[in-house]
Amino acid sequence: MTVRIQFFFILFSVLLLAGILELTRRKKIRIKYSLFWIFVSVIFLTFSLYRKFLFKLADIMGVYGAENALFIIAILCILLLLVTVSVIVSRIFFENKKLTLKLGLLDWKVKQLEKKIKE
Amino acid sequence: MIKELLQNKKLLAVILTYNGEKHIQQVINDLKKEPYISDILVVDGESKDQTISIAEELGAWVIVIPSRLGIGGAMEMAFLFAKTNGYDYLVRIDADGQHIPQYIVDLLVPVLKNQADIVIGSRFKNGWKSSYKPSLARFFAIRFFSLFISRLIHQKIYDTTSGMFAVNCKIIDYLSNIENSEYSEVVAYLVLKKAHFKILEVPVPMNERIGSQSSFTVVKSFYYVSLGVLALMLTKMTKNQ
Repeated sequence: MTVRIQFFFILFSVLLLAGILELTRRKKIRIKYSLFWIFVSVIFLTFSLYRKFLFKLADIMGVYGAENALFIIAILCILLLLVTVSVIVSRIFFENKKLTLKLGLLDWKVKQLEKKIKE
Repeated sequence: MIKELLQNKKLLAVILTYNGEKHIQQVINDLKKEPYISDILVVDGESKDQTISIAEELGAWVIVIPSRLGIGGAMEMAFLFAKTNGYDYLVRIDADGQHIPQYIVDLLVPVLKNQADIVIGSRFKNGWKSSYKPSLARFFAIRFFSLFISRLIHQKIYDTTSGMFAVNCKIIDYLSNIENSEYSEVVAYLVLKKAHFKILEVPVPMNERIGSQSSFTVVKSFYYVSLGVLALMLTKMTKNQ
């Protein structure tokens, strides 16, 4: 792993961490989810700071080049996260549908009551 | 006879509409001629034409929901409405006038007699009852689905895409609060069979598609068949609630 790519990794993880913290501060992301990202960026940062870990990890995984080990881990993490996001989106869809249907029902009821009052 | 069987039970007729001003008046008026129907509910997917106002003027209940919820969401709305307002039975017919309200009785009687929980009006059982002549691609799609679903649920089903059915309050109850209901006609059979409901198919004459000329090409039918098969297999896997 060259020093340049290491520098790049460090810079990236610091920026990610800063970005997540800023998003949390502005309440653009739920604390529940920001915890996950903070966790990820800290791990990423640790690996890019301590090259020894990474070399060891690459060795265990049987990968040539420490940066490849980092890429593989990152890709797997992203896949996992995307599946989680799909689950969350599905749940939100079901909840949203439920609310919409309830609203339809209430809307109808209000109309009926208004009619009754007029009569 | 139907009056005796119904007694004081309430029957809701449901029509799902989306920009269907051409036929809505005819369909509602025909439904009103059937004395055993207590109320008519129109679930509309935000039509941009006169559908909503025509239906309201004719005295039908109208509920408007976003069209992105699809037929599944609209049907769920209807079931939820039926449940909260205490209807005992529900029938659905298409808004394009292909179903003839006089034949609702044929569907209703087996439900009232407790012979089935859901009765489906079929174009194909006992031969082709209607003058409906699909394109070759569509014909094969229909046959394929019929064979496939029949194998899956261990019951012969002929018309897998019929939009005309009658159900009792057990099914109203079940389908009004089913969490993961990506409803399509084909999948609904499987969902109901998994919950051990009794399904019955009854031959019913229908009008030719007066509405839109359906453009069902080979490519499209292949697409729908593959999607349907996948959806069915995934539904088969899902947990029962």
